[in-house]
Amino acid sequence: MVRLYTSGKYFKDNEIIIDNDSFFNNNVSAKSLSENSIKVMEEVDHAKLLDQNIGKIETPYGITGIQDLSTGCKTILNCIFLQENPEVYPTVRAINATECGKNALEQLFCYIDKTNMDIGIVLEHEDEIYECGNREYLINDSEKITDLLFMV
Amino acid sequence: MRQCYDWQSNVLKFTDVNGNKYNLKFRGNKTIVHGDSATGKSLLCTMLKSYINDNNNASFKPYNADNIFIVSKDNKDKLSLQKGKLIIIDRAELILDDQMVEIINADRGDNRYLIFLRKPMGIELSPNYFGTLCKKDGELQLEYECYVRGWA
Repeated sequence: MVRLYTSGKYFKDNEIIIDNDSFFNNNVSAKSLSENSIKVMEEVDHAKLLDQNIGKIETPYGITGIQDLSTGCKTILNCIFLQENPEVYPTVRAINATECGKNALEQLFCYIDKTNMDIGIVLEHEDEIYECGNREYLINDSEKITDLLFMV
Repeated sequence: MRQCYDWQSNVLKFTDVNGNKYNLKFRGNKTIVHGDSATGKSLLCTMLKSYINDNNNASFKPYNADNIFIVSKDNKDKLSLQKGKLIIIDRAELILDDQMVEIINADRGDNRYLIFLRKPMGIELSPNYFGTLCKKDGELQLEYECYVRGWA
């Protein structure tokens, strides 16, 4: 089940990652990218990891570094990082995915669903999210839905 | 030296170092861009920033970006001082505050705005000015979602 929150007010400051771009740039190194992370990079940004030592990637826009991945992709990679390294930020219980487009959200939800990850997702927009796949969603710890068309 | 942004035609057009072509034709003074992750929103900003930062480097000046102001957390206090600029706000969910929204809403044409934003923040804009970035004819273009006569 994916736990969604329509506001960050459900969490204390030290319980939520708000700026995913900064979090990624400061915490996630190319060397620490797992197989899951590399797969997400390919699926969301169509980015191929060329050199894991220096973080060089090839994207449809050219060759660049992992710091230039989209914020949506970085958000998912942050989630994977948190799950694979729970000791680093033990207080974090949620991640703000408001900067994710629907393509990144779908991948994020798939990952959480597949791995049963215990993390809340704060989503403050309704930007075509109804196109995300049907699955069990728990909204604001109160309402269960399967289709995000009915998220209010 | 060519301008990236032509105020007269209201077009942002340039080619970046990787050969990616950008050709964004704006309808009015304010445009909000949303849509999928990894469509090139932040990339566009990164490339323009490099032209602005390279303005003092005499050896490499492919474009003039003097009439573009890219808002970040560090310079957002200078928003109210701009005149005759295309103001670009990437990741606006994290940057915009009430005061900035007020400045943008009160601006009747001194500046123009390109805002990458998914979350409703109170910017007064008709749906005619909401769009997404897409690749068409080898160029990254702006695709408006609708045009309804009567909506200003």
